[in-house]
Amino acid sequence: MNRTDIDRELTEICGAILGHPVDNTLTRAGEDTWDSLKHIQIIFAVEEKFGVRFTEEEIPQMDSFARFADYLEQRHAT
Amino acid sequence: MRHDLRLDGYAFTLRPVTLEDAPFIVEVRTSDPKRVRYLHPISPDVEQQRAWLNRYFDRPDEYYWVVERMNSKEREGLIAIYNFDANHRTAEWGRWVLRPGSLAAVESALLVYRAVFERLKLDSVYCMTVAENLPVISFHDSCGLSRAGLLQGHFQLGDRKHDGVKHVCSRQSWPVVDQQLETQAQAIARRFQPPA
Repeated sequence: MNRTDIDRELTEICGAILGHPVDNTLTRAGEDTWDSLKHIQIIFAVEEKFGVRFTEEEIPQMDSFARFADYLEQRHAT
Repeated sequence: MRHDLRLDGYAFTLRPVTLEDAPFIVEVRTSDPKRVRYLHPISPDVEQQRAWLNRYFDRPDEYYWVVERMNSKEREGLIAIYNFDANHRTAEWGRWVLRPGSLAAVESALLVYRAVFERLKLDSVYCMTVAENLPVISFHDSCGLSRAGLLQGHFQLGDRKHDGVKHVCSRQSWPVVDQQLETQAQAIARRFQPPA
């Protein structure tokens, strides 16, 4: 899966959970509806879609579209 | 109030606050100004916090808990129920703060609702959030709570007044909220278990 595919899937997941269209500039700090409950929902949806498992330490660090995408790109490259 | 109401969840526990928690309370409520900017400020002096706790122990109908990890007993945050109204069988929950990076938000909220509806047998509970605290307002919306109004100038924080948003969870809406939170709390708890 390349970066374009990752971005497309992430856009779909985040948009569906946050309830409005998003793009790759999305950040938790800049998105008022990215609350603690939705954060967990995004984490589990990404895990299911991409077949990854975030550690307890990584979960709070996934605070932007770019961080998710970088993480997933790295995982799919190895 | 000195109480023994303890709630065990899937990964976290609400256990009654003790005097020994005073340094932790000061730390979690003062160490990160950005996180606590929407809570009433407290003194950084631990002795003053112990004095506050001793007054709290003497007040009736007030429940203050430490949010604690079940497996490690590590303290993750604080949460409370207070402002009981016996006539309307309701109360307020708040004083909610968690250490940075904690995953206890969902389960600590779930456990406080369980305390309200299953242990204290109230008919509803409400929470007041500073209107600018949009992620917490969104959290309550996401949990399925109803917005019950905007209270102008409700909060006095420092030298500024802030509007408050009131959310209510009624006994009728509790099953939906419970299901929403429980699913996520269970999933988070599985994360703390070692891989099979």
